[in-house]
Amino acid sequence: MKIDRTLLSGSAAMLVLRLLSERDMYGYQITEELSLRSQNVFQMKSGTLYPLLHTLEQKGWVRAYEQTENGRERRYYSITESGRKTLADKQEEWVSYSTAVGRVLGGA
Amino acid sequence: MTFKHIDRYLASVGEQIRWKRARKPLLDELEAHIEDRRAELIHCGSQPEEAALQAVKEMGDPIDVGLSLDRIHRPRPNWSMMCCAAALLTFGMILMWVLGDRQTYFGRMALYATLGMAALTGGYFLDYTILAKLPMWPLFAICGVCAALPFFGNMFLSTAAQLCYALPVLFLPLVYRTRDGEKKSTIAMMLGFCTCQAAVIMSHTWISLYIYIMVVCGGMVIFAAANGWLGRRKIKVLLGAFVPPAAIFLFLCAISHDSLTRRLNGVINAQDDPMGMGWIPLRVRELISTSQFIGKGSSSELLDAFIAPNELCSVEHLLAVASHELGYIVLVVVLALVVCFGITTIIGIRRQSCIFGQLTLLCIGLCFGLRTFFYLIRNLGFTLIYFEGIPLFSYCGKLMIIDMLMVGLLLSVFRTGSIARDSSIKIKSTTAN
Repeated sequence: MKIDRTLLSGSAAMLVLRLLSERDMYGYQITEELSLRSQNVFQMKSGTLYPLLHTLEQKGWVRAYEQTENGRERRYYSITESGRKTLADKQEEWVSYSTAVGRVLGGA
Repeated sequence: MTFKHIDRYLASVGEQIRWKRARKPLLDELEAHIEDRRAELIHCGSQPEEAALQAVKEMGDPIDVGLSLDRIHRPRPNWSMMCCAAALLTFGMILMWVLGDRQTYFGRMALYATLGMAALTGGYFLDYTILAKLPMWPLFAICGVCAALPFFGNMFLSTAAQLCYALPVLFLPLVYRTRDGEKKSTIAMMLGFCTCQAAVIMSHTWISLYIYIMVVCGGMVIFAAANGWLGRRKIKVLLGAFVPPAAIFLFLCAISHDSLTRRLNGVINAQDDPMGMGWIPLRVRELISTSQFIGKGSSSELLDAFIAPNELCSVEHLLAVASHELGYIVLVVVLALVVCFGITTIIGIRRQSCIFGQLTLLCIGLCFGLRTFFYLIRNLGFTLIYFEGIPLFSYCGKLMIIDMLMVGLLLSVFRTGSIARDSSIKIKSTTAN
């Protein structure tokens, strides 16, 4: 099923923070993991992912560091304490939102 | 192996990013993503050329990607730090004009501040990662100059001391190079550390600057150990770095036991030696204790009695004098500015993704923090050891130019922090120097 892109962009930060709350990842791993877990529903393009990651970094919600893996320099992202708090808030917000949408749709 | 689709895509993205220095690190990250995807597609059975085309297609519109990255990555001046620096400099100059020695020291301060502004601007626009590429010889050359200057006469003592304040910045690359985990880099760092200490001892400024070198350079050695750069040699290196200097320090304290005891007494029991070592601490404490929050302090004779024997007293204790003459609101304002400066530096260290950026902020932050701390307690009547004053705010002679260069470098770290990458810092091998 094709999903409206705006639905993903509204929750992209929360999804990325959620993945990073489990382990540190680099950009490509994030897109692969997102695609895998959503059963190919969320296919985030680099045009969305990297500006998002860099914005999260500037806000202090994630930190980046470089690590060499198989001779290739990779830029890993890891969630910060402030990022975890933001994730908790966003998750709470999402639950309220989806419950409200569910109620409206259920009542229709 | 290069593919025209990938090169063309990256070139299109790069064209949208206006900040030239940001292009390479950003494009490197995108290229790594494409390479990962291409390898995955090849693994699933695609031909290399076809895989490259598909990987590029999945990246999205290069113009959109480039524009989004361009919006995020612009040089970011750290306004709070800039405002603090400007306020400290302006405030210091005004107080020097109003209360200090207007004829001699204000003129010199204005001259050094003007030259310092050029140094600050240069440091600000300089790519601070250039420091990481500095060879070892400038450190040894400056150490040699610091050690040799006192032999040319006492008039060069202060120049030697002022140069010693710059040693930690030159020591920075030696610490950073230990990241490669090689023994020769660790040896080079230890050699640099010992040379700095020797230079300080030879420059006849031993006690305060020895502590300065131990804290700032030692802090950087601890940073290297904490980041795992010293590997299994960590304990040996730390013991080697701190035990012999501690022993040397105790030895130096022992040979100057009498003067040290008198100085300590002057601080702790100032009233026992009111006309000797306790004279300045007592006067400074009186100035502070008789000051009001806003307005002139209650005892007008105090200041004249303090300044009359030595005009430098008003320069070196400008904060105490200003607190008495204008109110201790001056002290509160200066304290607020230096705390704001310090907090901004600490936040910067935590937020930097480039380790060299973190190390640079730590180095300059420690240099400034230590001097500020001892200047503040001196201005409260506790002259334990003598350090040059608060950078930018106090009259520090030619050191002001070095200080302002360091402020410029600090601001440069913040300005380019988002695009600085350790992987792009190519360092020559230590043995090559």
